[in-house]
Amino acid sequence: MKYFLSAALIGFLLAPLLVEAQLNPIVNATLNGKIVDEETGTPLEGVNVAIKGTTHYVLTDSKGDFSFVTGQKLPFILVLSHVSYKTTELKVDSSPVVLTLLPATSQLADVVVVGYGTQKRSDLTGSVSKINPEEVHAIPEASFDAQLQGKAPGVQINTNTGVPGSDVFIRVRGATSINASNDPLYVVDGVVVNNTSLQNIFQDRATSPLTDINPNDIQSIEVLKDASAIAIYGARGANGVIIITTKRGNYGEKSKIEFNASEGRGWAPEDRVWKTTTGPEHATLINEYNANIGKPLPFRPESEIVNGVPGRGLPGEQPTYDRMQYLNRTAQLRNYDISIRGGSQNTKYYLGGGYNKQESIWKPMGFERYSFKANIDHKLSESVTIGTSNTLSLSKRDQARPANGGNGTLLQASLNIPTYLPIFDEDGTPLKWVNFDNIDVLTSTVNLWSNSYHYVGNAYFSWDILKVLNFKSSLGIDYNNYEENEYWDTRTILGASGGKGTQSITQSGTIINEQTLSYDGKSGSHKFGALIGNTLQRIILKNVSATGTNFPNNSYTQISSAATQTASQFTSESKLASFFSRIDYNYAGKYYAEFVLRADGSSRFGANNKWGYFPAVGVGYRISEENLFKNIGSISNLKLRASYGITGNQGGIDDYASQGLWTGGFGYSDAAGSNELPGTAPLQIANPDLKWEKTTQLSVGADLGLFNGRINAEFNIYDKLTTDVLLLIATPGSTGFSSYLTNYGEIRNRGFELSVNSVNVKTNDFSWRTEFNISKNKNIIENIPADIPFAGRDLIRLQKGHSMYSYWLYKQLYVDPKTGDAVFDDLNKDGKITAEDRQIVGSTWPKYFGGLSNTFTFKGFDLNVFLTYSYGNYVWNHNRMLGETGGTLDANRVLLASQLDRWTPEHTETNTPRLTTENYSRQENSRFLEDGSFVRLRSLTLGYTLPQSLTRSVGIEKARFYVAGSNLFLLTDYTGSDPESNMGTENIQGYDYGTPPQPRTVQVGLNVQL
Amino acid sequence: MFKNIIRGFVISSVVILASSCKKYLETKPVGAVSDDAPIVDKASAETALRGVYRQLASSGYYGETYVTLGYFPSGDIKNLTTGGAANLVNVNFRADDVNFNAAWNAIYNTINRANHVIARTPAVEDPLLTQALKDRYVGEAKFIRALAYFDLARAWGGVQLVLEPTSSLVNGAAVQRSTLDQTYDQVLADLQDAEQLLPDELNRIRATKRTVWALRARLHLYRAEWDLAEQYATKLIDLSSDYSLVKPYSAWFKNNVVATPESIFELEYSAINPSAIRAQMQHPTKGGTYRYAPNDRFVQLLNDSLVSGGRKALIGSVTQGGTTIWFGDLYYRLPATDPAYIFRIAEMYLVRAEARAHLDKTEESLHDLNEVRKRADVPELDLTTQDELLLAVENERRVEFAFEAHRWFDLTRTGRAEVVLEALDPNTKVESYESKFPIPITQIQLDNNLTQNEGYN
Repeated sequence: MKYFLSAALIGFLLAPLLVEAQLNPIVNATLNGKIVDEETGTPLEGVNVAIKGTTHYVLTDSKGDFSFVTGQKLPFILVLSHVSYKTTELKVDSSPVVLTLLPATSQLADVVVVGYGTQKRSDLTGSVSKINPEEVHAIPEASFDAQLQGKAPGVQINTNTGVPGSDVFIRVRGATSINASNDPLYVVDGVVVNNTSLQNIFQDRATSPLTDINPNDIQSIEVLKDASAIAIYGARGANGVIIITTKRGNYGEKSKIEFNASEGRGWAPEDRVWKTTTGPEHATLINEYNANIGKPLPFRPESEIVNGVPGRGLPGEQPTYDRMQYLNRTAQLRNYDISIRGGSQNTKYYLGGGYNKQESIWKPMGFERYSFKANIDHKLSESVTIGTSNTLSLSKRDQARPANGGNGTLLQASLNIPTYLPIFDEDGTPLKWVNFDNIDVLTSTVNLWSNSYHYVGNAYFSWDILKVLNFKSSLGIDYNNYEENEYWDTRTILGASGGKGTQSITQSGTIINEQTLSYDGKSGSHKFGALIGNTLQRIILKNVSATGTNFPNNSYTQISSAATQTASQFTSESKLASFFSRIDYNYAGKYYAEFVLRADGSSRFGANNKWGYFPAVGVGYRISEENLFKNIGSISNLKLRASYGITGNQGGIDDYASQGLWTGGFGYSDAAGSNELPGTAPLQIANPDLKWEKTTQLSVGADLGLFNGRINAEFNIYDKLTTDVLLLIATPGSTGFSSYLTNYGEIRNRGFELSVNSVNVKTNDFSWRTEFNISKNKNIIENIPADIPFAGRDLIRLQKGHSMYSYWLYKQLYVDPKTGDAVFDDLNKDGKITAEDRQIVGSTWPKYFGGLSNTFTFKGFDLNVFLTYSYGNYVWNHNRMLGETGGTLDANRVLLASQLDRWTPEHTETNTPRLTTENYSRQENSRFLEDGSFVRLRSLTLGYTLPQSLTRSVGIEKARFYVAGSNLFLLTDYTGSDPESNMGTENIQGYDYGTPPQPRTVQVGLNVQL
Repeated sequence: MFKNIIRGFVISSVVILASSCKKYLETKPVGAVSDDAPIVDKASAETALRGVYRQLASSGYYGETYVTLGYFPSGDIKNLTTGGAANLVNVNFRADDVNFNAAWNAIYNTINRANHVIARTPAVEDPLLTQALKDRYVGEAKFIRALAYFDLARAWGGVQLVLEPTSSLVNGAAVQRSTLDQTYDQVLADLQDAEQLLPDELNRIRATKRTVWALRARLHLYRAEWDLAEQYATKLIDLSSDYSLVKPYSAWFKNNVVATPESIFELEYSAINPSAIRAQMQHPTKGGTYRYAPNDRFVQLLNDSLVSGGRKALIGSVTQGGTTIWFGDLYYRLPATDPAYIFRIAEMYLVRAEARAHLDKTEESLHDLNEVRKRADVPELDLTTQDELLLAVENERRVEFAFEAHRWFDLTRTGRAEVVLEALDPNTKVESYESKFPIPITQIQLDNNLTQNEGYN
């Protein structure tokens, strides 16, 4: 590695010497021309016209005319670029010429970023979705990945929670892995960035490091889905690759300032708030339960004493307290961005700064981000370019434990406490009930907070050795310092031992060095491209954490003042070494073929399997280029594509998973009263055969363009088979180990995706565009050695022949109208309901999902209506399970209003059984697995752009005002707070553990370009 | 020239990389060491042995779960949380109850760690690791293995006996379940070895010859070997300068004391390795999660000065919003350094009282029982028949060991679970097969050699 870096460095140093020769051109040709919009024919001003391979350029004037005096001889290739138009290369052999440019919205000329390069959309053999982030900026998500929901076919995105800055659930063409990660690979400006939370202090929501990237600095997002597109990322591509390209300036572009501001409010949708029983209702149900099982009624006159305990008063005498009002609030949303971009002849730059603030609709959580972006490119000569991308940000979070489980969680302190129990004592002391904290204590102080300092950047050196041969070397860094804190004062359960404070600092550092050599040649109708390259990557994860308990009083919060102090530390390192190559060929823009091969070596894998090889092939056939089709005017593009290849996955497993290890941390004393001395124990058993998870994918697709590109459709079907699945095979407890990591099992994902974009109406004043997509993925576990239990209560089980993360439940068939007892499916027909009768019920995978977007413009007005939907998926409603315990938990759990629907002699047609111990002894009940289908109005935006004639007079290029709403309606039968709520750990999906619903928001904003 | 530069560049980088890649791709963890040779000298033998104790004290075993399995199905506990103990307190045992699986795994993990010490220590060549030390370490590990198999056997019946450290998980040896007697025989064999290997000395948190005696007293009681039970209990009771019934009753656990003369064997916890059981029983006002509590009837019993006396210190209460809330208070410390109490001298008295009752040594039996009652400040009893004595011992153990791992196992070894628990609460139904816990369904599915206990299929 060291040698390699010095070699690259020498390359940098030599570069200036190699460029001398090409300065001072000799004048021997003049080119005059005009540039017009291809669709409207309007002359275009300010188009940058350059001759390929030189730094010489001119700009068109207000009539679209340009005049070029050059040392080059005709014919030559012109590069035309303009912000609002596709950058186009055209061969010119005479003067004067009239050239046309396609607007940036037209798909065919679209340049798509692929692994280690770019391709024209029309040349793609793979399946790549490109998303313009501008379209989704108004959606109040802190992170760009959450904003993509419903935009990319084949990409299933769940926002998981209404806590801003949290994890997002993303699956590109299904899930391939059980114990390794199912998240796609994220590449920001060529740097593979970490998307795993660095959180170390226990919380039930994970933060997302991707939130540190300001979406406003992003130029484009590409999602690579099929084998020919992702194989270039080899061992890490199997879950899809998301490439983020940030904004850059243009050579010769006049400096341009852009300013965005928005202010908004968010709140919990009224119909998505849990409904609880009142005090009297709760008491009535508890009494009914006790009467049913022949026990004394707890809510009896106070004078009646049973077992030494007085009564609690009759049901009608019980008060009702509203704890949710301490939790909910109207949240503030605020966003400011400013950027400057431009360039001189040899230098281009983009500078951006942003501030974003999003409060959660639950106190006291909130997210704030300060970000800074600087991208600079400089031409040292006509053939050598150097450049750098830099993203620097600070994300501050006020956090909490929103849901269930563990101490200090908001929902337990509010929703889960029976409403008849008072919040405060007569003297105002906050009371704790059940085993939960006091909601006022939790929401009036911030007990958990964090600061994420994040740098993502790279520097590159690019050298056009020949016109057709380019060498590029780059060094990238992703460094994240995540500092988190907790302080629980003595009023909380966690702080009971004199307060508890922790500071934990986790650092994640990735260094990537990359070299590519690319060739791009053409001979007659044959076009040929080749790429070879290598990359070295090293990832280090370090943590140091200190905890103090027993502070002098609540005013002392520094760990140094605590009486008891403990500390911990860990370090983990992994490395990758890779070589890759790609060859693409096309004949006359008609026949396409592409071959990709990557070799990856990983430190994580067993001594016997360090290296993996990942080949792929893609072919394409543009039928519309055949003469036959050229006559059919309505078909402007028709292309068939197919690809097949192998990719791998190694994400999410322990860095040392293949090694046999003993570990410390098991100290014990040698005699009573003396200090603990160190102890050790076996941690895991070696698996030298551990290797990559392997996904073989066949993908076939077609692109269709109609009416000169007015309608574009893309259709893909795929079949992904993952073998050698990285699997924690559970081992019998009698071995002393619970599991070991190995490669075993097969998982298949099959599906299709269809997207249709159409310009329905386009006149000078009015336009209407529609974008629609629908996807389906069928996930099946083809083979695993035995059932694999997941989640608490073994609620989730992986079973052969079923989808991953299916729920393993007692299937309640109905409630017997005569007896009121729940009747369960007796799977093994033995007349008893035992654990053997638990079965897979329902799938958490949607049958179909996607989005529908309609955009209307009328003169200066624009209106966008964007719907997302999911159909046929089931969601585990955990809070309903906790809130329908039939009275068995008495004063120790709230009863939800839905419990009132229980069977009684008067009310016999119901799914909620009679209140008895037996009927409520099986919480793993299919009744709580609900249909999670939904249609959501994801966003609604109405904007108005002031006429340019007006704004230009005051020096403003563009001024747009808008009002945007998100989540304004949600159609669903799901009874929990939000059908997208998901726990977000261990790959689990469809597990609504209780979390803030997605907020309903309204924002007003302003966009100004100078 | 450029071409040559490029060619040289590419070729040299490939050569450099190819030669350094192998080394580049090797990483060594800093938080763990290779398992090639984990026990190689005195220091590593000591640390491995401490690791066995820490696992014995883990939350799945004596740190919480296994202990609660002993007192949840007692008719005296109410469950306060969803899931958790709901079915256990109602004696509605289910093979998919995660508590069973947690305890099962924790106990076998302890056994595997003990097996490492037993198998590897004798072969270590280190002048500092003398034969006496080797004997001691192996003896301690054998004692812990005996305790672990004893705890498995009294909960699940005969189990699979694994006596070698696990070295491969790919092709585990097929081990069939042993019978209850075979399992107890293995316990006895380990105890007999340990008795030879361990010194006769006082250490209340590590295994010694005396700890072996205590487990033997209990084992013989469970196997109805009354003479031996009496004999081994007597060995400890006679060491009155080291072991005595401390007074008042609360003196063996209140005020943050550890290792009192009451204690024969307890496990040590610290701020770094805290006990899990405390949080589960304490009320949130005391920093607990209050997942279960003594029920109203049991609270009344523990507050009864004629039955419980000083043992009412085992429970505490808070009054808020006009309601008095009771909770278990045996484990209460902050940070949670409450010891796990495995053998107390009071148990030896009650073991001997029970054994002597069976041996028709009525007077001696009554004497032992009354020793325990005197210490608790409850009136002495005057009983004459064996039946009266056995019932009195049973009732005494119910309050004396309210939050220790005894009640359920006492009721099943005497075959009285059904009679006693159904009388306490008419809603409780104890099936005869429930005298053994169900083997966790996860284990059954993972191991073809493991058969389910009768009645749970």
